[in-house]
Amino acid sequence: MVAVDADPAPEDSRSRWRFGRRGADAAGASPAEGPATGAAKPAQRRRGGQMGTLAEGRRIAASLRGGITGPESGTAARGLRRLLDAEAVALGDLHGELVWAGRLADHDAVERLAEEVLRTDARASAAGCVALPVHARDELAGVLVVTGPVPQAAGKEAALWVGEALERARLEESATAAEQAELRALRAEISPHFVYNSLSAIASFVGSDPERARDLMLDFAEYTRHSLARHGDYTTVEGEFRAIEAYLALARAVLGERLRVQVRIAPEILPVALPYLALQPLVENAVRHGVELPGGSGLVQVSGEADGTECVIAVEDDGPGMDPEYAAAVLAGRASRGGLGLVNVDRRLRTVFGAGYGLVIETAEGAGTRVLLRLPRFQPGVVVA
Amino acid sequence: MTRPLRVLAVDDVAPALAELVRLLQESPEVGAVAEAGDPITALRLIQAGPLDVVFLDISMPGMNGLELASLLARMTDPPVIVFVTAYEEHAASAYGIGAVDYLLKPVSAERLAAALDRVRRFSTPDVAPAPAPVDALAAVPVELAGRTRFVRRDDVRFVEAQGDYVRLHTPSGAHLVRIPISRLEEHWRHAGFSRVHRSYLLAVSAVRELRSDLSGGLLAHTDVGDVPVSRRHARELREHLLEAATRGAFGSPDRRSAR
Repeated sequence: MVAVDADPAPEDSRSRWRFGRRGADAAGASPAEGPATGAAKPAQRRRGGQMGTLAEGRRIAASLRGGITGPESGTAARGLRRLLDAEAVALGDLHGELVWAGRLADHDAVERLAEEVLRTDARASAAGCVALPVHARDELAGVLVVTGPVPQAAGKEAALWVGEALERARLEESATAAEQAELRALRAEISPHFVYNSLSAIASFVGSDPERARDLMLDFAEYTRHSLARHGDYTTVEGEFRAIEAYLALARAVLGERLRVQVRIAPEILPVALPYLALQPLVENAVRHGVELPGGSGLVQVSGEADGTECVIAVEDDGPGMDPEYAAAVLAGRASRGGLGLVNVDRRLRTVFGAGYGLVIETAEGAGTRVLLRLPRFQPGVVVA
Repeated sequence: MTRPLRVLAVDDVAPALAELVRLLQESPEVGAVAEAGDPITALRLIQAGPLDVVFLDISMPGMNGLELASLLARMTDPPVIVFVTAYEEHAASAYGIGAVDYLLKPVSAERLAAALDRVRRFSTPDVAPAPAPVDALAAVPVELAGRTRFVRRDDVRFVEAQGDYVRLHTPSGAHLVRIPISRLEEHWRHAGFSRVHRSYLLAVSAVRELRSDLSGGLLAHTDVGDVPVSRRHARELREHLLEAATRGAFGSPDRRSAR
């Protein structure tokens, strides 16, 4: 069951994992170990016993994050060589590229062997040299070549370990990609409701007030340009406020005297980067809930100012307000109707800036609604393209 | 009065060309407006007569606006180029070619006026005021109770035109000086002042807050009063503010106490 090396070097023997089907066998093999530290320093690793082996395994897996022949796969090959006590270990990808550690006595022979494995998807060996297929998610993902007196089971287990590390790296990668895709998909869309109302308003002015119709058309262009922008994920507060003003000009045309708006913004926050359409949906929301409902007196206030290393943007309406519990349900995505714009913004902000940067809603029945948004003024990685 | 600008408009989309030509003809600083519906006609017109400025669409069949512009750059005395296009992503390469401005379609009259201002500055440098000793007006003499004292430019938050006079608004009060606002603008533009209205010149770094009032008009709030910003100048002021803020011109992050 337990594979034992033919000729273990004494100072290495304790740190070497004896590959087998059951870890307990290996644990039993070194009962006299000191307290396991799992720390990364080589000297400690020797004394670390199984925990040291575990740490080595973790490092190998981490070095394989960039792929089997990725930028750090040399580190993985060296780690495997230490674990297996092999003369040399080579890792090869599906394109035939090899990364190795130790001395490859016959480089050409190793390459031939690796090619054979890639062709046949089966173990191959020649002259003290064993090549094993590495599988990730049941598919051939590369090849592991081991030279020297390494037990067959140990080599096999190492190939399985590499395969699992690759599999995990792929999963991590696709999780990141999915997060990015979600962020893009969450990017608020133009509301069709608003588009048709705006176009109707513009059409009504074409005959009676062509100058105003022209101005509104330009506002409409500004608004859609911002909403349809597809270069980069981030804009500036300045860009977002420009889109808001275009939106408000159109909303004024649609709603007439019922809408009163005040915008106040401190110039120092104009360059702050934020995701596209992080503010505009809040304003649209305030207009809809504060003004479009019957009886809404229709004052919408938007303000932005710096607060230390953050900036605070508030969007306020004097509409009917809501039950704070309902507001909490909206943010949690549990509300039965509406609020989708808010949830969307909230989630995007949290994804980009961290869990502490969501929306805060201050409201009560009959007391209007105030939505607060906090942004770090500088966030690494959040840059306007 | 300066000579009217000789202009060529180039666009392969007929309604877009007609609209641009109409806006240009309505601009007071523009004289003759020639038009071309394709790049070849444009080249012919450019070679035929002296032109001050070409308004050039970028996406055209055959030869695009960027290519046409790089051809023009090889002429001995080329006209100034202003690009007009629907997409923002060309902006970097457009300025790389040496365009004076970059307009997005559809073009507004205000934005076109701002572009023509820039063209005027670029194409007729000799019309600019005689190069007075640098910073001749870093301090302005004012009469105060029969005595002359100086108001430092750095203390001025904004300037308000009153006939042939201007009123310099500072934290210590307002001072009347006899100088046309356009003259002061020429001297102070390089020192961070921006013309935001026919009657107002504003120190960009003095802006504490931009406010848009109920009717949609824009105000720049300073610690000595509010300054109206005309629609025509709003975009330019925003650009100046953004640039100043990026530079960190608004000092300490938290200035709420200043309000």
